Amino acid sequence: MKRGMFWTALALATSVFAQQAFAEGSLYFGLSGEPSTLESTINAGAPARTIRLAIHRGLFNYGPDGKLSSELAEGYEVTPDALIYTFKLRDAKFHDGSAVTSADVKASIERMTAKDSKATYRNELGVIQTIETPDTKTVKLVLSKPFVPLVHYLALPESAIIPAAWIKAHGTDPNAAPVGAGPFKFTNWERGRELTVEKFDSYYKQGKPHLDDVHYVFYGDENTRVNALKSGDVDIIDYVPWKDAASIESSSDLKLASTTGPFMMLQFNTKFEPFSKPEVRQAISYAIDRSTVINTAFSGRGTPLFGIAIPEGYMGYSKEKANFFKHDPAKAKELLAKAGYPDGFEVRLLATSQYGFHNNTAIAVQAELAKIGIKVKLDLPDWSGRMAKNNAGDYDFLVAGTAGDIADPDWLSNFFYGGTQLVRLNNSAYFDDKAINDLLDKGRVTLDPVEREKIYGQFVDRALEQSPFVYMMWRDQSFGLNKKVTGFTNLPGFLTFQSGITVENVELK
Amino acid sequence: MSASIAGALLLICRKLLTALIQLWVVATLIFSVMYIMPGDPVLLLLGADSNPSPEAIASMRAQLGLDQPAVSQYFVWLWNALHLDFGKSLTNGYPVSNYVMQNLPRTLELAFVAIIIAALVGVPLGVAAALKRGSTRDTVLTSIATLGISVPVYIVGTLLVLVFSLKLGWLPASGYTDIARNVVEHFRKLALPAIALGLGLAASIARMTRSSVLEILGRDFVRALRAKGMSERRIIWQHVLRNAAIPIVTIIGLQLGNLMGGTVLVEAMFNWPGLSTLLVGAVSARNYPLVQGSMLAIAAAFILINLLVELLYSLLDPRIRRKRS
Repeated sequence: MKRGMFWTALALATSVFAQQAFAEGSLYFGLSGEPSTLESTINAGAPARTIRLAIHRGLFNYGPDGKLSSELAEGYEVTPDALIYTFKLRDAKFHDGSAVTSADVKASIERMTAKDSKATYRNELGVIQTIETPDTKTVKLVLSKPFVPLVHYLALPESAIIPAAWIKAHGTDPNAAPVGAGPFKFTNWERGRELTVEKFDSYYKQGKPHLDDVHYVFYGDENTRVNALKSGDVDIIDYVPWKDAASIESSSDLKLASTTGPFMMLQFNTKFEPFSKPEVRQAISYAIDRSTVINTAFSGRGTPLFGIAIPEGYMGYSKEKANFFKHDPAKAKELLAKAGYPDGFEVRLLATSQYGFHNNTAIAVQAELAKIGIKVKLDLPDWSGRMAKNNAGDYDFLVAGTAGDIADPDWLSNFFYGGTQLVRLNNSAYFDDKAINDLLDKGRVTLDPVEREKIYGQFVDRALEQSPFVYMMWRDQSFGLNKKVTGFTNLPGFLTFQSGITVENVELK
Repeated sequence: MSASIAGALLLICRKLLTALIQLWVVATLIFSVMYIMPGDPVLLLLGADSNPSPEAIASMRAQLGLDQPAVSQYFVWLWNALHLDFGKSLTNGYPVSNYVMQNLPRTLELAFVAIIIAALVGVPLGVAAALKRGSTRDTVLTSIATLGISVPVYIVGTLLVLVFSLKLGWLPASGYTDIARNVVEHFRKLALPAIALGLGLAASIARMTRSSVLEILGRDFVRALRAKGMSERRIIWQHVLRNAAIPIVTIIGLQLGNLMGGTVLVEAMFNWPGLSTLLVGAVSARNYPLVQGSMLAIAAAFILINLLVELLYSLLDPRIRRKRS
């Protein structure tokens, strides 16, 4: 009798446990973190971008092919001197039902370029001097100096167009519910757990989106995120840990969407004496066996990088210069001796213990440099501590993992340009080379593509010679998906962190 | 009797006053540690992968009040905390108390359910082992308990996920569903983290129960009861267990207090959005007010639970009550 009851109870429990509660048309997207803010003008990291690309659209965005796609603008014209850009707007609506007009575009851009603005791309968009709105469907941007990459900066998720009325009412409230013209409306943000958006019926692309709602669930722990995908709790995850990529690929229910956009590099403080010499930086490039880094920190999932990190197909790429360096410890020692350090030197390497791949890259570099006599001491604070040290120039050299901002070659300026602020997040501290600055200045104002290609060719030569960065590898950057998810694309080149835009194409089989 | 009530009240008051002082010490310590720690919330706020200008950094710092000297920030915070205003999250201006009120019940629920599971498993096992001391059953149970104590919770958790969600597909691997939205789903998601947390505790409760029961069984009064001819069952249930209960309740109570901060690994592993998850996230974002608020909540819960255990203790054992009054 007793035994019978036990089995009945077990059977009952099993039947309760086995039922899965999935609504039709609901996508569960496991994100590697919770955004600190949904403020549309600040690049608050990959998870924030993924969510904002469901809610907002800009005049342009990057489409699934990694090329510019006309979104709220139907197209644009630019004067030959690259000083005046004219945009025609398409018929589109915001989530509050109002039409997208030139006044909204003006207000959105002015919000980014305002003097007290905290917009991430305020410097780049600062060239916009005046904004004219001849009619409700036309916007004319007049620049203070020629700026060819303008449209690329306007295509970033941080250049979203939001209603002028919303800006007036909520522009300074970090908790206001966002309103945009994207495929999904913001519905709810339960802090610490999930953010939900639902289908916007008046989206300007006919028949899109296909999903009824999307639940962005925050999974800070990478193992938990992978388990959530494997057990079917979520349908997509971002930032697949490299160690788990193979098991997702081989699973019968799952698939992997990979690109190799982001790269790992070393960034130098050129005030640290040995690193003020280009030969020493070059020596380090020759000394590091790229496959050690790829195997130690990325489970073998990456591509060695022996030149400047310019993706194939981007302006400035050439096959020959992509293999400028090679692994050659003898040559490295020779260069060190030439620079006056035949016995090497001692140096601090800043990385972070918070992310395994940064930590392990640092360990691999330490081991590789020991072979040419350079004694590396690791400095591994948590991410916030590392950021603070990076921004204060408090490092000899550091491990960075990043990607260019845009698909236009002007992405290089952020990394290589000297200028007035010589200690920044993504530049080699105090590096300021006149030849490089001049070439970047020239590239930015040259409209003719053939002429421009030449300029960036010269830039690459000079950059390799100076080597303010040592590039080590392209790392695989992957989303893990349930096979029932179709239409999601991992954007190629630098744009993987903007792949969230393709959720508008996602269908569940 | 009334004297004993007055005595108990006095005791409670004294304890509460001590608790307040303890909380103040905790708050001050946290505040200092956060300031010594390198890192800057402003940099994280202004963008993950970009170069904020010095002007933007300065204006954000002023907006958040972080440009004030640390000492004045400390007193402002303390003064507000006395008025139960714990400030606002640096990242979004959302009140810290909202965060804490949202997440505290989830951690409490997880901890309570884990303790109940631990007691339901641990106490019977401990008694069973004690009653057959030296037998094979005792050896097996004691070994399992030792193993249970020494295996870290993240291994137990990983195994549970592997078996019950990835292989069998019975339970979700992680997550949280509001009880108001879907009761069944809520408990399905609670099951694995609570079991993972409970099993390790069950082992230590079983060991404590076993030694406590053994100790009582060896007392003279048990021999006297047996000599009197009382049935073994009555001796165990009415006399031995009642007497053995005190150390068991103590260890359960203390464990519950420890769980308030000890759920970190389990919450992270199962994506349970409780206080520990909140605290870990706040520390890595250098969200000072949120760190202070959640630490205070954890400390307060810890102190309160221990106070309750102490009161329960004197209820269970009249001798303690009498001694105090």
